[in-house]
Amino acid sequence: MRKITYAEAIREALRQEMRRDENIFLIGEDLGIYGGAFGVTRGLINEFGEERVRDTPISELAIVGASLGAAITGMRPVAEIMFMDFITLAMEQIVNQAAKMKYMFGGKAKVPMVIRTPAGSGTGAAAQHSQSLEAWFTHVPGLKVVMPSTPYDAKGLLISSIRDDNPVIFIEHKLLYKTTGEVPEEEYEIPLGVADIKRKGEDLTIIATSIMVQRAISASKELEKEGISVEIVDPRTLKPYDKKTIIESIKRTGKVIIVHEACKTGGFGAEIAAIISESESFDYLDAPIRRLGGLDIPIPYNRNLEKNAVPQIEDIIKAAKELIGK
Amino acid sequence: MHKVIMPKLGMTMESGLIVNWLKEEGDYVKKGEPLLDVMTDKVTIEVESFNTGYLKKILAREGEEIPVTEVIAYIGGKDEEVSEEIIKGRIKEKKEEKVEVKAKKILASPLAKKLAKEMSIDLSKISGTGPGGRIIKADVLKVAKEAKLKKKEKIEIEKEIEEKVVAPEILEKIPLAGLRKTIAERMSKSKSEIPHITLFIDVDMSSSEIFKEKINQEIGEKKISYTDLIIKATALSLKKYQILNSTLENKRIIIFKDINIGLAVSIKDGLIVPVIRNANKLSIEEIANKRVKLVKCARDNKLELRDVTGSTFTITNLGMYEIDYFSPIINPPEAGILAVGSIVKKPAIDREDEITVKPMLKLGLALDHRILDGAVGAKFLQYLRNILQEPNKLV
Amino acid sequence: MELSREKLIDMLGKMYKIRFFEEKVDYLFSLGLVHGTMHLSIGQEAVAVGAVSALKSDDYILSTHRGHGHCIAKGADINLMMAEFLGKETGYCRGRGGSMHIADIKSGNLGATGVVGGGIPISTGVGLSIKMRKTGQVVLCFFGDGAANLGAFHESLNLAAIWKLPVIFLCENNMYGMSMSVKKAVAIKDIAKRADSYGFPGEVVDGNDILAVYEFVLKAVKRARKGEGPSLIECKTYRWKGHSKSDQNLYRSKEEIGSWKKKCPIRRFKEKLISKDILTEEKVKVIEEDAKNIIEKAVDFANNSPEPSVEEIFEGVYS
Repeated sequence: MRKITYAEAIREALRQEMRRDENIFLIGEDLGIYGGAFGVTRGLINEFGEERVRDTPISELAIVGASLGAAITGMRPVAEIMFMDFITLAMEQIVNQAAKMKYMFGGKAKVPMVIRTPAGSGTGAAAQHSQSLEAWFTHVPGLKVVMPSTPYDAKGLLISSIRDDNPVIFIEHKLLYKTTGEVPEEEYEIPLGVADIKRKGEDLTIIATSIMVQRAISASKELEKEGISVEIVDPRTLKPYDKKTIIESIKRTGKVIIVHEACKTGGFGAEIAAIISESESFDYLDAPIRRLGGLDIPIPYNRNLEKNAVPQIEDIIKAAKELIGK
Repeated sequence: MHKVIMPKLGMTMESGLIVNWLKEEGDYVKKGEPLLDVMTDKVTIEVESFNTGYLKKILAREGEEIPVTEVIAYIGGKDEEVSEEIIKGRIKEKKEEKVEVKAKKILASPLAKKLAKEMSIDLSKISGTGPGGRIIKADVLKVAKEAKLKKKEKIEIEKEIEEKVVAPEILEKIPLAGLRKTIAERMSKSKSEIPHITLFIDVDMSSSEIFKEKINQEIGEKKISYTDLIIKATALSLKKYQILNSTLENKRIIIFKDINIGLAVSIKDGLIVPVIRNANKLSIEEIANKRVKLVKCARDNKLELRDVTGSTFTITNLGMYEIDYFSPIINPPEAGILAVGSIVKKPAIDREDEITVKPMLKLGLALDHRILDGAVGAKFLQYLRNILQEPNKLV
Repeated sequence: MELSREKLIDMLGKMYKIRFFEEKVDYLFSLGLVHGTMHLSIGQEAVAVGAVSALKSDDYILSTHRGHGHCIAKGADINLMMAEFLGKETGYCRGRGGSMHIADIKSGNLGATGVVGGGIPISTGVGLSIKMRKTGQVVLCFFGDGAANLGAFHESLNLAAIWKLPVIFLCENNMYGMSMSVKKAVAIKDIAKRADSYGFPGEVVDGNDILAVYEFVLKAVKRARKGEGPSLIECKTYRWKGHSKSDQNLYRSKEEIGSWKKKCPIRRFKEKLISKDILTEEKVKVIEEDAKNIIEKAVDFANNSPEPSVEEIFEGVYS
């Protein structure tokens, strides 16, 4: 199959969906001629024009508010917040307005909107351009939270997100944009709330999100050389999320490491760990649940410091060996 | 100051009765010296001292029943004093100790606990290899494997000994299963639960022979056998002596209206009893037809459930194997069973007191003595014999 | 004046309905029958009715926490409003929204929000949607003087301006953001003046003069429909009651409140209609009574309505 990058996969999903439904439009900063800060929307303005690839002033709150207003009156906006860090500026509209509207109005509003935003460190952009804030949004009923780790997932999940009638926070990772993978040319949906087993294994389950899936895969290849067979589960969507696949995997392996880039304290890994402990998988645990997450510090600038702030392949290998007892 | 406690002297011992102290307060006691007698499970055991010193204070006296591990005395140095507080604190201390024991938690992973429970393995006897000594899955599985090996070894050793001592060489081991198992269970049940009484009687079958040939000639084929005559005769006899057509259930004798004769048929895997229903109402020829069909079905393994259920009295026949007579086992829950031997020409005394040769049959009747007594059985047998000796009554 | 006699009478009727609805819920609250708080707009009826009267029925409004008037002006079913107020299953929001979140999406009332200024960014999106769908509708966004000092106000008005969106930003200046006097909160005299900096018209209107409100809003609506972009209209008015139920009115004087009560927008409009021979005192009485009856019936309807079922508590979180 044809291989394309993660960024291209997202662009292809946007293009194909915009061709399919003229109510879909893009809104955000520097999406048009500039092509988006990471080039994801590059070229789309040529096909769809300024109306549907709509550049905004630097007004994150208004970007989300405008998307929300358009969504409840028949449009299907896909907003882009240039860095996930800037989503803080739009929190009121996301948390108080978009997430609540349907419920608050007795189920009568429909809010089909997507907020795409790149998260994560590794670019040397330091504390205000490197955060992974997904856990915040999982804490807000009414929102869906999606975190693709591969080009294939990015395309299928984005298509599903656009077609969903709820506000979806679609979290991309800057370091993944250039990674490549097999992606079908046609449109396809990956249902929200279905995890994917990225690798089958017997000794240990690693539950990883976003870029950590890639790191877990690299780690598992190393571990395999030492006879440790790792199963990798990618929840793909944090809300709704697929308890069953996670629980079943743990029932097979009895050991689990949860890895995400976001700060460990209050990270979504804590939620996964809690769900494992609360479910029937508890009785299958043969070791304590292990969490790997970012250090509780703002992302530092210095290359080495930055690297040390979030889990790396070696950290996963080390944790796996400790858990296995090798 | 050393504590003397009620020792745990057996696996299941929870408390012990102090029979008598072998030392008095103030006596010098050496380690290993008998200190007191304790009775547990009606066995008196001499308890030795674990310490050397003076028996300072006896807290529990002769005749007291003391839970294990509870302090019963103190041994100390010559000038050591047992404070009142220690004595008063006896009960409290005991409680605290217990809590301590309870609080000692076995460190094991949830999975290890689950496996241990499923395999009935005692986690307290496993040492864990996980972090901090935690028992993990691998530890449980290892113990389980060892236990299995041990068991296997034990069996092998036992087998070896057995072979050395008795050593009959085994040709084959056939597991008790299927029909064999059912027969085994039913016969054991019958023989152990039902008090059998068995009666025998000789029958002159001359008339039956003539009668049988006559019918066969009439129908033009050799269809009717002695068995059919016996079935019919038995059915008629049961009609007369209904108490034999019964069962004992919940302290009640239940007498059946239907007379359903079960016929024991030997097949490849064992024995099966197809049923001829209402045999008393059927003609000889009808009985023959049914019998032939049922026996064929039995040997072809084509009997259905209704063919083998509902019999009220069973007839078993080993005549074809030239068995003169035998003592049958009742087919539970019936009240009786008729055993049919072979018909053999024998010298017999006829009415004119002449010795003549006659085809003779010996019938055996086993009865449930709880339901009826020998005399009734005897009358039944007489009646049955009379029919067979005057078979015209059968028509 | 383009308004028909029927329309004028209808407008007066709506003002009465708003007044009586709010007086009634105030009373119900005093009886302990209302679970939450409420924000009353008594004294501000001319703004709600005047502004909404300038809209067509398929135009949109976005309301505020002080939104009962907007809702009634937009033609809401009082029964469903009252039921929502009392948290009933039959209410507009199935008892999930309450006083602060009454919405009737079908009739173009995109809802009230409990966050000051929360509706302003949304209104730009509605305007954008109208423009992209080319439906010729407009959206009228109510907000208070307090909201005008939020960042959301700035981002949204700018966005509406650069895209020439059909939005009427209607600032209902009732002189106080909770206890904060607009005189202390804003350094300029008129909030409407801020429109200049975004590049569209801003007008100051006597918010207690329903016909003036109507007139200015109609002008803005026409402009919006022509594709000329948004307007900002500042209606100066006054809330007679406290901010919410916990307000002791410590920040303003009885005299001040009294002086505004003399400027009652309903009486003013009524007298005008009588003086123009459109209505008589007797006819006004009938209108008043009708309005009162509607409110009473709504209370009955709400009282006889079922409570929402706890089994269905999750319904409506997601589509």
